[in-house]
Amino acid sequence: MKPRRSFGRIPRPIGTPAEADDNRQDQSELSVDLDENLRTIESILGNASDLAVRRLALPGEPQSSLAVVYLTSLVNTENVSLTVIEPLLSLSDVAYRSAAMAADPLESLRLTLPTVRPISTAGSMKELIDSLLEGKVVMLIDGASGALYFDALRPPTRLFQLPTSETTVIGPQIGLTESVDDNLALIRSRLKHPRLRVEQVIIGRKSRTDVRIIYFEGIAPREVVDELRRRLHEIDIDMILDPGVIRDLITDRPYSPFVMERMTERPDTVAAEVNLGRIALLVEGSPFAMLLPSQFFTLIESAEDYYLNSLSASLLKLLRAFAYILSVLATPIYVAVVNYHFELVPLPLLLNIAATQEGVPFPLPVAAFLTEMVLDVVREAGIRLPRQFGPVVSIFGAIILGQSAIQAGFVPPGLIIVAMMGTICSFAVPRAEKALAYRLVRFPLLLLGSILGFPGITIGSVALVYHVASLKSLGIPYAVLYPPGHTARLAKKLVRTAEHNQPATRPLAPTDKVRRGKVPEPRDPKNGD
Amino acid sequence: MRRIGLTALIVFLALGCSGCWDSVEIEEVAIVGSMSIDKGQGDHVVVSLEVINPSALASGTQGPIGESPVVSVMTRDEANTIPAAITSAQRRTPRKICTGLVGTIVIGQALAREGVGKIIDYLVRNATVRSSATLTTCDTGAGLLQRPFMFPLPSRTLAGLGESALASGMTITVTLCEFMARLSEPGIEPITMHTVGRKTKDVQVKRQGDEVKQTDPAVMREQPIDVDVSLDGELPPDSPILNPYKETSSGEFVPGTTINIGIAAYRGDKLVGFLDDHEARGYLWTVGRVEQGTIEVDDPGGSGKKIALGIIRSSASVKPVIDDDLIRMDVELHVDLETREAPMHTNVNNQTLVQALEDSLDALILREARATLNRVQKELKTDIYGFGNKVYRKDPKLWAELEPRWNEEIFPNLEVNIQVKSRVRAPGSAYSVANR
Amino acid sequence: MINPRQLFFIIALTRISALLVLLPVVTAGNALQDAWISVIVATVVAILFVWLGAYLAMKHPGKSLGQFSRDLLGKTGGAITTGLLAISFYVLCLIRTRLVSLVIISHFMPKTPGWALAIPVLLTAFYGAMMGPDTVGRASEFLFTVMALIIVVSMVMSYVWSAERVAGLKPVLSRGLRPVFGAAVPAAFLGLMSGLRVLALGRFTVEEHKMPKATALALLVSGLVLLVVTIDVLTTLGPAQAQAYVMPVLALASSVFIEGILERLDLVLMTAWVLGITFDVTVLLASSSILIGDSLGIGHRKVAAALFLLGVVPVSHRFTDIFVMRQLHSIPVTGIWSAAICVGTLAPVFIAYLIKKRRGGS
Repeated sequence: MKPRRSFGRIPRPIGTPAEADDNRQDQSELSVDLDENLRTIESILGNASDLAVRRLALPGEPQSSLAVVYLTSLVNTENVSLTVIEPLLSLSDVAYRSAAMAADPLESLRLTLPTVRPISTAGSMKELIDSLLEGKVVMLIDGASGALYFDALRPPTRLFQLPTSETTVIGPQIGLTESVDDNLALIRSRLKHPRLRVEQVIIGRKSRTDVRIIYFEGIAPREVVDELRRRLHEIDIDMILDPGVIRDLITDRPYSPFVMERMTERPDTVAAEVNLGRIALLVEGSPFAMLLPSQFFTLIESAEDYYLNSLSASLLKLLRAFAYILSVLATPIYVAVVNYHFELVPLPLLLNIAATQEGVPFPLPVAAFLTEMVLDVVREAGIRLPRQFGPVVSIFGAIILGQSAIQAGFVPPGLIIVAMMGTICSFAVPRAEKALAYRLVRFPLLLLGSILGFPGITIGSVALVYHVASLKSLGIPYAVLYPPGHTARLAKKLVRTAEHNQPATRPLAPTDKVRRGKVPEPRDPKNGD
Repeated sequence: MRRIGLTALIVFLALGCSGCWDSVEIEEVAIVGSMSIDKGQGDHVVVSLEVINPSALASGTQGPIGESPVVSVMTRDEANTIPAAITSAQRRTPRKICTGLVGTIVIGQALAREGVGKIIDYLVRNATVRSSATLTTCDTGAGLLQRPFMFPLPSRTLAGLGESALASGMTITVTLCEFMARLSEPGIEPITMHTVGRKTKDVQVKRQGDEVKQTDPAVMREQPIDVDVSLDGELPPDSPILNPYKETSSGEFVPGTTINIGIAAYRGDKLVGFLDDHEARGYLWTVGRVEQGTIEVDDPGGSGKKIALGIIRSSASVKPVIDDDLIRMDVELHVDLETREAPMHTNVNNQTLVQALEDSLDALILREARATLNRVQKELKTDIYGFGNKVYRKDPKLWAELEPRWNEEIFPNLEVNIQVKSRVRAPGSAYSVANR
Repeated sequence: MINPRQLFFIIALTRISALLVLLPVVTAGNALQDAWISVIVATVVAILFVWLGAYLAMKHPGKSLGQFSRDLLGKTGGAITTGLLAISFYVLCLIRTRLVSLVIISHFMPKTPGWALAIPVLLTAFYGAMMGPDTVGRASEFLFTVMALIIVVSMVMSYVWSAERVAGLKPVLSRGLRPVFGAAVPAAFLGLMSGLRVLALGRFTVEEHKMPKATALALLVSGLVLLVVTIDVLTTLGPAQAQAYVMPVLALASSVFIEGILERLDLVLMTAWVLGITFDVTVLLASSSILIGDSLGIGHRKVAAALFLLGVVPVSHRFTDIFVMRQLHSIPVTGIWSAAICVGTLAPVFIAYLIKKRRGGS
């Protein structure tokens, strides 16, 4: 596993005023003087309008000797009073005085303050500013060169909602949100095991985004975790807004249309995949978790498969595999058949096709390219528009445009049927976003099909298979039909077998022991045997 | 990596620029549904192609006002070879003729008697013609346009007639592939289906959905076509075969209809004779290929009436017995039947009756088989049964000796023992009807 | 790294696709209806020789013939033995590329120039070879599955069961045993060339002790498939017909149709065959580049690039040699060729290995 390249290294401009300022700030220690500290904070944040400084005069202390500083935009004021101010005020004189008298007042206060929230101490101004910007409440005491900050508050977040990009009929109906901690809670509550590892990496020079690596120690291959950690640490970029950005920075083959990292919005999927040895990345501010290394066959897997009866899940999986193949190959094959190999088509059908093709001004390949492109545009427009406009686009695009294109004789109806079928099939693939990217490959195949017919499509498909087979995600081969170490069972992959028959070992960690133990033996309660 | 991708892209683009060599726009293809080949003047062949007009068939497409579009046209061209004739037809056809979907190939009697080698060579060499196309030999000459009936297209009707004729148990469909196999195997001679054309009157062929003007009851009483096109080789200029579709209702003509009547027997690539109706069944018994049909026997109860039995299946096993110089064929036929109609009050559940019935069936089938065998052996002198092949399989050395004399000397005098074992499997859905 | 199962897929897939078109023609031409016996004989002979090769590869894990022949026979000897096999692979790779375009042109697309088919095939093969043996191994899993499905489906559909036909397979031996053994030569040659790829791919194979078994099993399974195909062709088309066609399997498939869905199966079968041959060409190119690269001590990707560029002209110029193709697979040519491989490559290396082993042992 050699490092392919340095990830996202952007030349850092040296010597710009802002940069120099940052550097100076790094060095500066906190002053003993409370007022000076407060002035420094205000100057660094440029008198931010949302900076709140609350000076407190504690009982028995004539002048205020303590300040609570926070950003109002990031904290809930009620929470501040509940978790910081009230405990402070509730401190008895004696307790406070003894704390203030102590050699290290900060440490003493930290230990005595009656609050459940964790409290940390900050030594440098940079640390203080960083914690302010992370939405923490900072407490400064006059006479102490340091600050306490409370990990008390978090940025506003929305409520848990349905996982809209991966809806299922049955199974859990909760989706991840933009808050890393909430998401972590959702995952932890599904895997209550001490070996579930959660590591934190802060990425982004400006955004300082909280990124969590979640994996199961002993199941996830150690070298894969190490490699991922290395790649993440090497990322040097201004900001990270979504795992998608990380994906581009850490992927093995950025120019492949095949996306080798799986995005999911479902905590249950994350838990299931982590338990199978995959690694999940949570990024603050994004409701999507990235699962990797991913495999080609997850394309046809839906979260629902685990909740359905094994027979129906298997059937659905096969159906999806078929739908995916059709969504890629339908139009190229149609063009090749009609333009080159029409002997293949039964006479009545062929006559129908031939009759509908009459009077169409464009050659079939051109019409096919145009149709496919328009279909993708309609789909794209439908996805991006506000929800109320979606149906309008579908009606305009599909019904009016399609219908009138056929009636006007611009496009042969057979082609529309086939192209539409391909598009609908691509919707049957669980991850629609991914499927769209996958469908890109049908354009070169369409080209080959219209130039060389079936042999062209075949040769193109072989090249495509080579490409897929050459892909690796974090050093793990992306597409393996028959995983080594197991007996050759394609069926296991295409079919979800009943829980008794599931392979006991995990695909990524063949050495790991059993995934489930004995299955309860069914007994008839009435017969009592 | 990226360089490879770039190279690939450039190559594909170059491919795209230089064009799609074999690409055919389907709307520029004239699809041929059936092909008829007959003898022309001298050494010539006459090739008739049924060229389909797809837009006339599609219900959505409108033809010119006041005219009913023609669903298919029969071309007729004469040349030394088949490809040349097709090329000649191409000169009059605005679309590219494509023979890839030919389902039925009709061979005219006159040409068949001279030899079909030319046709077969063309068909096999031409990879676009599929070898599942059926071959038929037509008495009255090829080029007869089939009247579309129950199917929108003449060729579909023809194919449909071929398939339905199997139900009579008196004919058999032979594909190009089978014909070829028989032609090339030692000791077995080819056969095809045998059809005759019949003339029908006053039918206008119109697009599907339009009313078909066909009122003359005589239509259904087919008459033999009087013009024997195949044998004199010259067609009168107003022959219906040259102008199959007359738009006016006063036009005399029209397409005829085809009846499948039996089997055409070949020796090598030459037609030697026809086996029709019961003769054909006699042949099919011996090779175990009667799969459907009806057989009538005298009521063994002595009512003087007939009992009709349906054939369920038949099979034959042929064993060559070679004793020194004497070659004998032992053929055992098994036929399963069921009662379809019997004189009223006959109880078919009666064991003795069934036994008697089976005995007379055995006799009848044996008679049919024997009669055909006699005719094939003595008159046609062609081993369409494949007895020679059995000998070849059993003793290739002996066969090498016999082969030159087989069809002329040995086969006609071959001793064939036929044993028939028929079984009446079921009485139909009632043991007896109205038995008081 | 390739695992033994992938090795099995690679060899089985390439042998099936290489023989699918040629086999019935060549064998039926000589052995007539006994051609199926030739297939069995050829399979057995090929397994024997290939097992020798696989045994050598097993005893030298992590090394290809190019490397261990140098250890055994010295620099010159190693280069000669390896070069013979590598060049055979390369020539075969070019022949197959031409063959696939010739068959497509003569059957389906008469106007398409040869280079338009040959170059994409070679380019795809080059891409696969550049991606390395791992990729080829993983790709074989997919391609083998697809090919197996298509072949099984088309064979099941084209086979009409009848006791008479099976009885017709009784050995006739009308011309004695000689033509039967003679007809086995081309088939054995093609099997040998498929199986001996293990000498190149062995370098990348893990669990080397399973290699001989996987290789022999691949030849056995592909032999079975070919047996079924040959029997099918013989019983349906007849031996005389089988040798007359350019590609009897296609002729057979063109007589099969599924009412109302597919009018012809030959196009589907042709698709499977193009798929297999493209893969075959890939493996041949990869094998020869691995052998040459190892023998000369250069990276095999560089060699593959050179071989690709070298091959572009011969595979794409003047497309008129469908008749030559038949001769290239005739008994004398393949006989001499396989003898050369056995005597020139297998025998010296194996003998050297035995000598070394005895010396090492005593």
